[in-house]
Amino acid sequence: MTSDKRSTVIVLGAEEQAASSLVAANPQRSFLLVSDQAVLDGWDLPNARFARAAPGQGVARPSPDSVALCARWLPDEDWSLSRTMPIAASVLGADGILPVLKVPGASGDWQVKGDRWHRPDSPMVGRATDLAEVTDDHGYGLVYQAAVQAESTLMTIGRRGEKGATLGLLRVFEERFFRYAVLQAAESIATDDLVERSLAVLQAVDLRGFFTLNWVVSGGQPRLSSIRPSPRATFGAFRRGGIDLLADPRGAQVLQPGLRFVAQPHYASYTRLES
Amino acid sequence: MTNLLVLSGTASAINYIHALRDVPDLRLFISDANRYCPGFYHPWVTPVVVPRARDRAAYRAAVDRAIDRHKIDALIPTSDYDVEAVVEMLHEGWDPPVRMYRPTLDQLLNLAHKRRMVEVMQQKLPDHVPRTWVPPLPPLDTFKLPVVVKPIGEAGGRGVAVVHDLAQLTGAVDRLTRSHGTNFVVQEYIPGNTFVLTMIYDQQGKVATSVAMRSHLTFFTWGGGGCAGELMDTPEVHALGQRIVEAAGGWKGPINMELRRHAETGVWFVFEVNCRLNGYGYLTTMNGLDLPRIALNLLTGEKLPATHPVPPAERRNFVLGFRETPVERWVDG
Repeated sequence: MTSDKRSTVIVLGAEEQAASSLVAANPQRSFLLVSDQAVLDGWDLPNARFARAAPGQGVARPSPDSVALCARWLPDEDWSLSRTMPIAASVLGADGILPVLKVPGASGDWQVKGDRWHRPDSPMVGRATDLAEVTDDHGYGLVYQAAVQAESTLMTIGRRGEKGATLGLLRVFEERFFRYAVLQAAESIATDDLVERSLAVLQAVDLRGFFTLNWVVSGGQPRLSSIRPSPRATFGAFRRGGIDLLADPRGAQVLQPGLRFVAQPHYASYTRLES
Repeated sequence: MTNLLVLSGTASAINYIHALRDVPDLRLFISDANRYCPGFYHPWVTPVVVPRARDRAAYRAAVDRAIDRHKIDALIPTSDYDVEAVVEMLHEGWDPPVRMYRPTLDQLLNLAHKRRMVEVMQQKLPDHVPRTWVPPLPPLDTFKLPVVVKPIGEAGGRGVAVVHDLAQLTGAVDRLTRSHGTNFVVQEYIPGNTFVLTMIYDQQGKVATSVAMRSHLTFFTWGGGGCAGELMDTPEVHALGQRIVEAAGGWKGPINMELRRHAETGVWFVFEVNCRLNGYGYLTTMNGLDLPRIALNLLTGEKLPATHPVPPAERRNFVLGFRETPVERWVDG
């Protein structure tokens, strides 16, 4: 294999599942996996090196050569749901989104979410009184969203730039929630309508970079439930579809349907990253 | 040729799938209710979709059909739900024509049922179990915080919370009362690192191997099971583990327990027992101790592989990642 002379890609938030997906999908590129965590997956990947840094500090400063895998690693940007979801509602209509509130409603079941980035650990759903125990231990901010009986979950994942956007629509069959969310099983699908709606939302919130839009299908209708400025572990699927998500998007390119993947548990030895 | 049916296609089943991959004359069948489970998607595995273990009658019929259709010789349950189902079915008189571990229902409940395990250990090993309260609870403002609130009958850390103040405790108790009735416990929080002791008991109830591991990272930010770690040499833990099993009336098959050494007193506490291998299993295989192979060979009567890991200087640590892996087609449901 010939080595690629392009610059090293700096992966911010390498504790996320998407890190190994990105590195493994691009064996010709070199990556510096940056995290503030001591224990990371990926040490068996030959094109990965590691560094420890806090968000926004030193090598972890966002740059044109970096990919942030979580909004926590974009400390100077505000991608809070409480800011972006009302903008999305202005594009999709009030019925097109699941609004987020700063406090849960008095009746019904609510899901507590991280406002600025994904809240770690198992999802918490319950009545307002049940959720009183949930505290913001990590600085993500708390918001509440009405819990709906989801028929399915869809995600729009990709990258938007000055000259275009590349995106894939995925039906998510299973997602698992630990410290970090794991995309367990999914398949790319074709839904032109959702492509248009996704592009409209991205334009309205002016999101340039990687993104994941989460849609909950209820009553046959997809409703937007979150907007995050980061990709998920789908780089291999995009590669199989002939799309390099590291390349600057030009025009509108949509991932072909029928690409399936699971997350396989993988065991590897590691070196502890010291501060 | 041995046809082995491993019940469940996630967590510790993954260790069986990888460890037994190249065993000569072995065909590996994996069952799960979830057709998207990772264990189904390995070329050397035959997937078998079954109903959920808690849908007992349909599950039993499906397992019986799989045993018959695939001419299964040996069967090993690898999830809490599957272990519970299998042992209860045996208790009800199920007698499939396969080699399998056949512990009693009392043994299972004394170990794996969170509340009953604590009750048994409070009687027999009171110094090694955290103080535990069950409903009806004393006034919540009398608890010394933090405490751990955990439902009974759930796996994988579902519903567990470490609470640090009265408002959190009130919310957690309300939540679990609504979702689980009186089926939950409040437990003293033990500060310290989590350790896992895994043992395999043979069909006569004797220990065949015992290995201790230490977590470097837990699945959840609040704790829970480990997803990175290393092997440990802690002889006192092996002895304690055997006393715990003995206190519960014994065991047959793989078993693991989560233990914590109190950060201040150094006393060992057991706070959970799972009657199966744990997700750490492959760590031992990486270090020369092939627990899935031992569990299988104890059933088939074949010679056991090494029952001790490689020396400390040669050992490797591990971290569990979740790697995106392409799938050609989904298993039919």
